[in-house]
Amino acid sequence: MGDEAELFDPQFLSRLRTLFFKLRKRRSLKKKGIQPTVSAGHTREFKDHRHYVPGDDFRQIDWRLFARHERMFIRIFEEIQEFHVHLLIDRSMSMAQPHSTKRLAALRLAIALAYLSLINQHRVSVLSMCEDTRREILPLKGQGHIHNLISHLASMKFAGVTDLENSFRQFRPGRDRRGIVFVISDLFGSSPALSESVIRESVSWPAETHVIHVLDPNEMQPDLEGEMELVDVETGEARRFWLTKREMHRYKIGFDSYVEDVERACMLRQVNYVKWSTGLPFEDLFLTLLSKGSALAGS
Amino acid sequence: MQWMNPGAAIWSLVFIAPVVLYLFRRKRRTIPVSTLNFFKMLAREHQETAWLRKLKRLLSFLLSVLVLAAALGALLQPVVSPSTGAVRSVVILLDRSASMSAVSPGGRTLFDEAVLRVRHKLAGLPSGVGVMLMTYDSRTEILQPRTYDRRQVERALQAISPRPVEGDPGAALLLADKLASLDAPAVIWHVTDDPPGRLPDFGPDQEAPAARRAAVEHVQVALDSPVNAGIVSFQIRKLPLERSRYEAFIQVACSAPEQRDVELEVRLDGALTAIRSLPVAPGERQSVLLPVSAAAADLLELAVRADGDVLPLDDRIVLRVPEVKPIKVVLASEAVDPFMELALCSLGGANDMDVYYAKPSDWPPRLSFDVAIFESWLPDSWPGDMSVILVNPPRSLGPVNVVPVETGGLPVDSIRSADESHPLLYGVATARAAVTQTAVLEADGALEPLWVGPMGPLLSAGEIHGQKVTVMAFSPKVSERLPLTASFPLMIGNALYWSVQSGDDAARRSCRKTGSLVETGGSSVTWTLPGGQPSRPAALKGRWLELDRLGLWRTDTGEHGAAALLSLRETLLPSLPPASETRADVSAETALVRGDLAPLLLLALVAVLVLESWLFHRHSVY
Repeated sequence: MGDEAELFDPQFLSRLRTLFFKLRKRRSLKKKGIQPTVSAGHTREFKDHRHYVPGDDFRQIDWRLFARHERMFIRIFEEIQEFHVHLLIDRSMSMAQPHSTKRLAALRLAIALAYLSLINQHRVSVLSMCEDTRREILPLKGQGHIHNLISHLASMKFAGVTDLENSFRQFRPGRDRRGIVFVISDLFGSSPALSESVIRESVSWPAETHVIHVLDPNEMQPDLEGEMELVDVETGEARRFWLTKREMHRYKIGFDSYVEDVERACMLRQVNYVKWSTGLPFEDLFLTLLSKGSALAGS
Repeated sequence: MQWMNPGAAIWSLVFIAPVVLYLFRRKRRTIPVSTLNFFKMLAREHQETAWLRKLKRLLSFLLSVLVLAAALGALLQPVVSPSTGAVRSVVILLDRSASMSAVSPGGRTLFDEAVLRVRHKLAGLPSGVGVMLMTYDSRTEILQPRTYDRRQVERALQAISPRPVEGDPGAALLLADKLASLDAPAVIWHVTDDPPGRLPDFGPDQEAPAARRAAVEHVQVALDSPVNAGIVSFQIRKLPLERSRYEAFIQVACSAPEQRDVELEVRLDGALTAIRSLPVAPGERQSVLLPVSAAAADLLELAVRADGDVLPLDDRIVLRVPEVKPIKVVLASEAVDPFMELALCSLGGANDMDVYYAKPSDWPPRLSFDVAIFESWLPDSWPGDMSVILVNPPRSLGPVNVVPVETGGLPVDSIRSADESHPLLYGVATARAAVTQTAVLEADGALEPLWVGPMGPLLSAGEIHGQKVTVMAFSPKVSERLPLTASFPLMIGNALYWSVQSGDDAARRSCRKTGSLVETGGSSVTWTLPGGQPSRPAALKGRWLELDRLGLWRTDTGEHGAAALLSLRETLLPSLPPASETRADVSAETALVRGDLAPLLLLALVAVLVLESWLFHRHSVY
């Protein structure tokens, strides 16, 4: 279905090597990885000293410094984390038709995020959602799996009707797989209000959630006028309209209001929201995503 | 319904276009979209059901066909005429006589109402029917020859106004029928205030084939119960043997539901001189003789007033008191009878009469006379240019046939009067008269016997070819009692005044009926309406002046006179029948669909286009 070449951009991916993920707040992760954090951990990598305050683990007191300065310091070691990066990709028909740029953008974004995770020794889970949530590939770790991932994503079928409610409800990352969830979707469900309500489901996920709203410019402001029959690519439902400039203006107002509602719902639930327009350059958007999103950090 | 432009039916071929478009309609564009959610929010749309879709398509097709049908119908120019049927021409005969100036309580005249009715009927007339507009009062006038251009008819209608002239519908109808038969089948719309029963027995040309006779549709415009009082007859004459004394004969009529008191005012040079109250019954005439003490050329005004009077045209008469010239009488006789001479002398005392005496040898006279009296003598030829009084004619002459009595006369003591009311016998005591009949007068002919004796008429009078002739078959000289009584000079005076009372005397010329023609030698005329200032002089065409206004007139050559309506027919205003055919006609004329349907179809076309636009563009119905 897809072409791996259009998904794989080695130059862009190589620029991602200097980047890494950073969680917004410390979480107790069971598995340790290579990702240093701001928190003190229990690794052997010494990081710094600081004054002892009551309540600190007295086992971390550096008695040699006590002997020299007669003041108590504790040793701080770097904490190296390993966490899961869950990529939840919308594979409904609306992501591939009629604007195939959405599919391409979603897959490239997934590969970029997956690559960034793999090179930072995070585990990557790729799931797809449509009527339900389906695991596309077993969790991967290590950058050697990137080609395997690309080929798998390139062959992923985009079809079916989006059931956001069911898909979000079915996605339950285990406690041992805490980390970051990237939802890459156009969020087109059975109704616009549903998109806003399903954001509520993400609160129960044991991870930081990022919603990347993939939209095509023609969806945000369609260039339609005259008599036509519009067919929903997912449901096959057809409706006939006589569209005028006035109708298109009203459409844009309604769509912008929908996007704003979704963004507001995300902010209320501390879910990062990014509107991803396929009409804009991919790299610029991705870097903006990294710099804007509080969960991502540069080198 | 008729099609005025059936050739436009060729445009029905355009119906092929919507049918083809309907049958082979282009499939609409199908555009896939990611979701319909936001489009559904745009506008209320219809359910996507098959039957509704078909219905919409059919509606679209029918609207298109309807638009084309309306356009085609407008091109065909259909007309619906509920009243004319299949006529080719219409002759509008509009009454513009004085009675049409009657004012309704709403302030509109009957003539205005008549014009409105004509316009209304014209609106329902097919454009293919020719229209001729005629109007009439005392004379009939063709204002617009037959035309198909309604604007010309409208312009002609706007140019008409009622005239203070008596109407003559009989002649107008006859002429209208003649003209209508030229373009049969035709119909005459006779718009008048007269009810059909009051109109003269109009018999369409009996010689014409029935198919060529025009149907007459009477359209009556009248008031419900009009009240009108007016002067219907007037005459002023100088009293014989009286100085500055006139006598005015006035006849007043009234049309009202009940008897009315009509006030009659007489003014002389603006000063009120007499006032009378006359009870006038509806439809009746009330006569009054009023003595008027006036000099010649005084301005005499007569006016009648009645409550609720709706027609002012017949309320006033204004005239100059006529200047009466003395009667010029010539008495031709071999030997003048002293009784005759005495009677004539007594009559000429008031400067009313100039008497000349002529011998048989002087006949014919070089002067012109009004009356010639031949006493016991007759000229060789009958004088045809003057009135004639024959006294004791010795032989027959002209129209008078007599046989002299050989025995010198037959005394007649008991005279039978055949007509006591004749003007010749005014004041004459017939019962006390005794004459000697000297000639036997033939009873037949145009002369009317007034006194009859044993041997036939003693006194006869009559008008022969416009010439008044009086024959006395007796001799005053040998009669026993008559010359000695006052009856003889009275009878002579009556005969003289009766003889000169022709239609052309000065008194009668003083006030004429409107509509009359007056021969004048002037080139312009100036009218002075009652109570108004003299109008600007109007040029006269020809020698004849038509008296078509009320008031005083004067030509540049000094001829003058007055004109008044003086028409019983116009004064007695008819009332509208309670349940008339006219009102039925009105309901028929106010039918919704009538007349030229082209504008209606164009209106329907625009309405359908607007509906289609509204449905298709506002509600996305297609």
